[in-house]
Amino acid sequence: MDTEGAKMDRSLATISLLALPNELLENIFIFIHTPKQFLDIALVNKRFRAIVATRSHYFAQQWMLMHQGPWTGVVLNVGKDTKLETLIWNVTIAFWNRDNITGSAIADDRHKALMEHMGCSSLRIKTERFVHCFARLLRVAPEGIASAKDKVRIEHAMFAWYMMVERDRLYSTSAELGKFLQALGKTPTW
Amino acid sequence: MATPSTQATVKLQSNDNVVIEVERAIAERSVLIKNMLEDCGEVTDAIPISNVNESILRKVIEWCEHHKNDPVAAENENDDSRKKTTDIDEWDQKFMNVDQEMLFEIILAANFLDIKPLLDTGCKTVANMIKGKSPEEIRKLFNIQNDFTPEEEEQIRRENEWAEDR
Repeated sequence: MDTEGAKMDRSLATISLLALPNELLENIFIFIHTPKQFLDIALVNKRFRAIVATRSHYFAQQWMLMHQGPWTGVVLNVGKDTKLETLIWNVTIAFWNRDNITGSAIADDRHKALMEHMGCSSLRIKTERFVHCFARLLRVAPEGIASAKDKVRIEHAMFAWYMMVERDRLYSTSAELGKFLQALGKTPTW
Repeated sequence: MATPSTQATVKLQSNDNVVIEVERAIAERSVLIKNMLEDCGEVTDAIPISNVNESILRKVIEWCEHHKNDPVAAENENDDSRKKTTDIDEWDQKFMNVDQEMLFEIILAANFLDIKPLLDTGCKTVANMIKGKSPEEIRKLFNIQNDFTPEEEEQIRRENEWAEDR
């Protein structure tokens, strides 16, 4: 018997985690709520990686829930047929309508507090994360969503929110948001 | 359609041919058995539980006995709602404090018998074992071989870099 065969015989002698069908492994992995841990599971072996990939939609939701923000309600409602345009629009509106980033949290050091709230050290990283999350929510490869145009649109949404908070919400409607973006030399595409 | 039965107990036969008599209400924690009894009405013969051996069947029955008065989840209950928490109550934690082989056997049995709360408890137990561990520690814990080349591993790390906390 070759080495590989011997290994398989041994593994079949007792029931192990690997004896569970993929459906049950998925059922276990969905109780992992930390995105980093979810990704660590993908590094265990090829089979786990494939399973994690099939649950990437759920994973993206978890990531966005972990970094709770105005998008929370939006991402939970993303279905298989949601279009990127709709998703970006809804997230932008959610940013726009956000009203709980006020008071002392941003009064002392607005920039720092805002970045801390966003869970990262720069707006660029945040945009990158959203590209990946949007891709997973829409069940497409990140490459499929990360065209320069899409990235710019996502960045518009992030930037609009950022500026809106920084400027004490001078712009309170979506029409004004459009004007605001145009004033910044960025043409809204939605 | 079969006439609804009022029998108080049913017999379950494990795959190693041991027959265990159990209260019907307890056996009916299993959706598989419940449906079978509803379809067949009065069942006097032992019901073969072909995928489950005696020790695991007894363990599953023990769980069903303890949880016999728990409310049964609605058919259309949103799947995601039950996945929000990984908390396991104290009794279930003790119940699941078994060796890995038995734990996985219980999960397989719960899946076969369609006992969702038990399946969730088993899966949460494994998930809690995974939490906080590195890929290497997970491999070690479950005796899993790393089948990635260093290059493949590096590629996955690069792909997932965006999710790292920074």
